[in-house]
Amino acid sequence: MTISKAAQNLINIQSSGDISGEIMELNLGPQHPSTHGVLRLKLHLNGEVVISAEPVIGYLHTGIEKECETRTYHQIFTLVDRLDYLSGPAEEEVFAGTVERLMNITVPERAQTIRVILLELSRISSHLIWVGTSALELNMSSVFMYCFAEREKILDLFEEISGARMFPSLWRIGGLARDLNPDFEEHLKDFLRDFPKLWKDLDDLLTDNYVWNTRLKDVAIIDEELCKQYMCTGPVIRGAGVPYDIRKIYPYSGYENYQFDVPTYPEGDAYARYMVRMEEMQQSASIVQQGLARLKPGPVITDDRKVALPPRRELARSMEAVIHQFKLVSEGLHPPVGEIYHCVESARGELGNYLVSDGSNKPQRLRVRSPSFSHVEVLKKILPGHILSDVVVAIASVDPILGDVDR
Amino acid sequence: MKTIEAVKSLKAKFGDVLVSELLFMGETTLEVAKDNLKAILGFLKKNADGGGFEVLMDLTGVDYLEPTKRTKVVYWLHNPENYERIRIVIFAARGESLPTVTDLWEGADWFERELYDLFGIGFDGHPDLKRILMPDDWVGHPLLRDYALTEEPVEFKHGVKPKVPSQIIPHVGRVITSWDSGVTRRSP
Repeated sequence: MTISKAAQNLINIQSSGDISGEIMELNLGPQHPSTHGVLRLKLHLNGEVVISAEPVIGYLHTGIEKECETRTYHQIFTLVDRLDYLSGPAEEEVFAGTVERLMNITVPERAQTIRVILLELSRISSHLIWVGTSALELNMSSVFMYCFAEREKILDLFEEISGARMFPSLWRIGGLARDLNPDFEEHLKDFLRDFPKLWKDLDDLLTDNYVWNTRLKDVAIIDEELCKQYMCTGPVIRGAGVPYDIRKIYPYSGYENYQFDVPTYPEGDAYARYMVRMEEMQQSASIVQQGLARLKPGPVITDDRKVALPPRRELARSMEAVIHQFKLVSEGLHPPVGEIYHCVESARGELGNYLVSDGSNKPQRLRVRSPSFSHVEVLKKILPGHILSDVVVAIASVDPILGDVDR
Repeated sequence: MKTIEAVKSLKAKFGDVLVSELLFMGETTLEVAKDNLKAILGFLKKNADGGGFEVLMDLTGVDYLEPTKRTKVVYWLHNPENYERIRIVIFAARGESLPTVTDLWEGADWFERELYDLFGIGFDGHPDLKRILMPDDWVGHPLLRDYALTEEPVEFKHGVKPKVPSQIIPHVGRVITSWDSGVTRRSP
């Protein structure tokens, strides 16, 4: 049986009887560029080897779950956006999906397709940032530049359709706020034409790179058993060889109509997670391609007037439309009493919303089950035995977003 | 094993232990009592006859003011073989503590700390129960329904008093309003 580098380090320390020597306590973060936000790690070091680690979170706690209890359902979109700030569309999709399932609303086909396109674009942009920042931490700053330049194109696309770069806030309950611009498809095709070139560049720069391989392989191993114990999902569990993908298991927004693979690698180390994310970017680009082919003209929001605002042109002519507009804006919609859990596959894993409705116009409770929370928790288990410089790789490899962890 | 069969085998094993049982929008919710919470969760986790709900996908709480002030703790279990899910809920009165499940799932550690932090629920046998999201010296548990949400005016320019004083965010338009009145500002 092969034994990982980290376990070997721990065995060496124990057998040499060195453990009773000088133990240094080191605080990594919260203000440290390699902690991807404001994560603090309390490390106990024996020489350069980590003996124990304790992640400390809460520095970015914004109380959004509490805030949501005092807002109407339409106001919540701009709040949940800010949780996972690198893939805002996923947060919007999960919230919209939860309310739509509870109220039994059918989203028009075109809206579903546009949602899928935006979700996959945000997944690509999130993974690009991950590759870029992880490489920057290993001193490969050119990769960082390439990734951010490409992500800029995705943000430009978001800006074009909604005016906002990072958080499109395009989702509404029952569909989308507005339709795509006429030029959008053209610009998206440009992006899809250029993206494989960049992907190839990244692949050439990193996949067989000696430094990248030696730094990532056999580091921060999270196996299937650990994933079950710590509820790890997303690229982490797929990097442990389990094909667990919400898009396949509990399809939402019409994902069952798309052809795509779920890449898995059995090793469970940081390199496996890197390979998973790289292949996911390709799959996402292919899903966007299929989405473009499926785009048919049609409405982008449901015509249920108790849920969605009436079109502007009706307001001048119909008293009923004015009343609906007034009630929806001033009071909002009322889902039935009940509780429901709905989840989507965000760039980081299973992102779930648990909504408890008391029949009023504001949720009684909106719980966000964030994937990053579990992925930061598992750090305390996997870090011991690694040398300090590998800690940085380990943090990066689980891709935590602290806004999502602290909520 | 399907959720419905797991519930059947649970009843066969334990007898009449479920306080209530609900199927809503395809999600099964079982309410249990404190005495057999651990036994039932341990049984459901087992692969042989329990249903194989090996993953604790989520652990959270919902606070209620009526009929009594109490918190519903929600265990959301997931079966990694056939992707079936089941929800186990238990009500805890204010200040009541529950048995920990960290011996069943190591990862429940932080989720229980979050519940302690935001709802004030204790967990007997938890290895290190302390606040996780709020500062260590924080007073109160923010997600309780009778904990007032306040807003602070932002001083955009030094020395210039903001025009609007600090105020409690009003809950305009909520149809069921049980905690609007009588809330006081938390002293800083």
